[in-house]
Amino acid sequence: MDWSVLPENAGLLAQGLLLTLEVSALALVLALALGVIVATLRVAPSAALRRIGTAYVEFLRNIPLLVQLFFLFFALPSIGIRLPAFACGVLALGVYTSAFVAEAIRSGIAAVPKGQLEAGLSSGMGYASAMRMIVLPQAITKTIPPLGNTALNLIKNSSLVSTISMLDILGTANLMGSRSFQYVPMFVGAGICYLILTLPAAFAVNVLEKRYAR
Amino acid sequence: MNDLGWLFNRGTLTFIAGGLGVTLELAAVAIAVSFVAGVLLALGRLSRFRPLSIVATLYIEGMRALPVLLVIFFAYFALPRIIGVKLEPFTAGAIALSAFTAALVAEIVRAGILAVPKGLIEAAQSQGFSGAQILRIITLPIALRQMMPALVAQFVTLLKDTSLTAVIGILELTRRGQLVFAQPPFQPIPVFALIALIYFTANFSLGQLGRRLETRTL
Amino acid sequence: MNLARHAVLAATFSLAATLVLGTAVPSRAADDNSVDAIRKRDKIKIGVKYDAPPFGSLNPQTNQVTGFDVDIARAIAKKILGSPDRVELVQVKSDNRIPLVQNGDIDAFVATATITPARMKTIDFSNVYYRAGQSLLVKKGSPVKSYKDLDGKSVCSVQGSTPEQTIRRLVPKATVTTFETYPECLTALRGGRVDAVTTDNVILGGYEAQDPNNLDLVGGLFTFEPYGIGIRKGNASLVKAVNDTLEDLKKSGEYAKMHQRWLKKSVPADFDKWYGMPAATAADQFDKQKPG
Repeated sequence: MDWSVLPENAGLLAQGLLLTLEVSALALVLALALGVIVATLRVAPSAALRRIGTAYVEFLRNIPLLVQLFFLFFALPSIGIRLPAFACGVLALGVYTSAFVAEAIRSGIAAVPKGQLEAGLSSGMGYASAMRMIVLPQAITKTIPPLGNTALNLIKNSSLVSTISMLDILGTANLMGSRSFQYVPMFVGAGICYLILTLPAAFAVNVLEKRYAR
Repeated sequence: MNDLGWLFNRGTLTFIAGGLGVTLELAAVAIAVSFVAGVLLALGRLSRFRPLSIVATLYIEGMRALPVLLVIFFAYFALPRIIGVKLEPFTAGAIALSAFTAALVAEIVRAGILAVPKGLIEAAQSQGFSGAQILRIITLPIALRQMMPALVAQFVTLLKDTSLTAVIGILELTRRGQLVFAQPPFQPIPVFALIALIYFTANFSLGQLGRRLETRTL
Repeated sequence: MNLARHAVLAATFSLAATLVLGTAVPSRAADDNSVDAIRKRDKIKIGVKYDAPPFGSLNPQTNQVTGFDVDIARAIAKKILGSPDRVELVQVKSDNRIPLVQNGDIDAFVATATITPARMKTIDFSNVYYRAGQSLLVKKGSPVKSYKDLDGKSVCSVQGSTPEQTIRRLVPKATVTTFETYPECLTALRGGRVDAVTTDNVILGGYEAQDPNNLDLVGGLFTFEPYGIGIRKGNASLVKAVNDTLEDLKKSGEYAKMHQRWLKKSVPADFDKWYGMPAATAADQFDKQKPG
């Protein structure tokens, strides 16, 4: 085992780390935006809207992320939609995670007493305003721990973009490993990179959980 | 394009069904091993024997912080070089999924055990029950019932994660789908629709089963 | 928690032991794969590819493996055991065929394997049974006609393969996209994600034959890739039996028939230059070549 490949490729791994961060950050923004919209659907008064929201969540949560990613990358070109690999990665990751964000927010909202919403509606506020100004702020407190977990999972799931030949942490480690046949050092290096990202985040989630525990 | 005979024929459907079989087989092995290992890891972490507790904690927290795909690649490409034995893709995939899921199961079990009312345990101790008896008769049964929902959710995740083993060449469901649309008439979309439907059905049913178990045990 | 501690230690040990023992492949003595041993068990295990038409491919609709390599494997079985059906066709990939034959899990592999000096250090090869070369597969109408046209374009190959390394060396300014297997490269080509796929010409030819209206094989053969049958080091009896089989196939004209059947053309003009070349000579020529 030749451990010198690790310092030799440290620069490339660092670039991979950067790409992982880029993909994760953009996907997280997308996931949060979509997640809030879908969560609102799921607690809407209209049964039809609720059903749409539930279908969205159940559909995305039960199909593997890899299948969704491969669909965007390998299948869509056959009908002329050719998104760059980066876009496929962000889109698949963001949409997939949005289902979990929606679920986290929904359970946060469900934990807010019903009286709050009713009070808002009876004072003349529209449904959207009541949600936005009264219910959601309270729901956010309850949602932060599960959201933190979802964000953590998103960073780990970003590793899937290596399968569509993107050079994130895992992709770089895999490529360098196959070239030098020194898989152990390269994957250990990849592991370290991921730990650098996820351990602090996991610690933060732990702290948040204790602060906002029921 | 409207004629899907190339997909919906006995041979191709059998081929794809075989993929589902491998997926389920892989998941079953991983569930069994990770459950046993997870319980042991949880007990290890809760143990008062410091070195054991530290090792268990390091393993659990380490695994949870890593992407499962990395663990899979490691098991298939790197592990053979460490133990000197070349691993079949299925074996490597099973090891990876089991080792990874064990850490997550360990956390679920640990939460379950910690949620058992201390009063019950103290009462049993004052009655003269040994540590082992308390564990077997009181703690584990109560904890197991309590963690059912989380365990089922974890196993749904496991079923989805089996798709990742496609990248090391295991002929599970996703990989077989890829092989089918790599043949004439090269139409990926119907194949993806079918594969997605199969995964959805399997995972959704499992989730519903979990929900039913939850209401029954409450 | 004394009990817990004992339980965990015991279980961890047994779990670890089970995993190691369960997956450990017992290494067999070299005698186990000799011609005598093969005759004794009346079955020969030969590794072939399941995803490399027309050399070895699994047809999802019939669940059968067929191909040029498969026919050679059956010819070996016929020579040693008297029947082309006494062979178990084990699936192998580029990255596990050598370990499998080293371990004795398979007696030999006929799996589009190029004879290289590096590989000769770990296993033995039969004489050359096919000459391939690296080439390019593109979509019809593509401006790419040779590897030089790949400058600034994207080309796809399998991760860690020799063609991947060669194309990087030949065209440093090309974007090389890698996947784990060829079907993904093919789908990427069809979807317009890459401009070309590169690997051995006959693997590419197999894919072209599946879709001749859309795909073209271009660029000629820009490397010398002598294919050999991989056999465990020291297994002289099997090497001889295989080489005899190859000689028989040439003399009887059976080889020419296989070539026509699977590769859709007759044997090339330089056939006698490389067919039956000893492995050591082939490895040497491979090593000394300058692609292009």
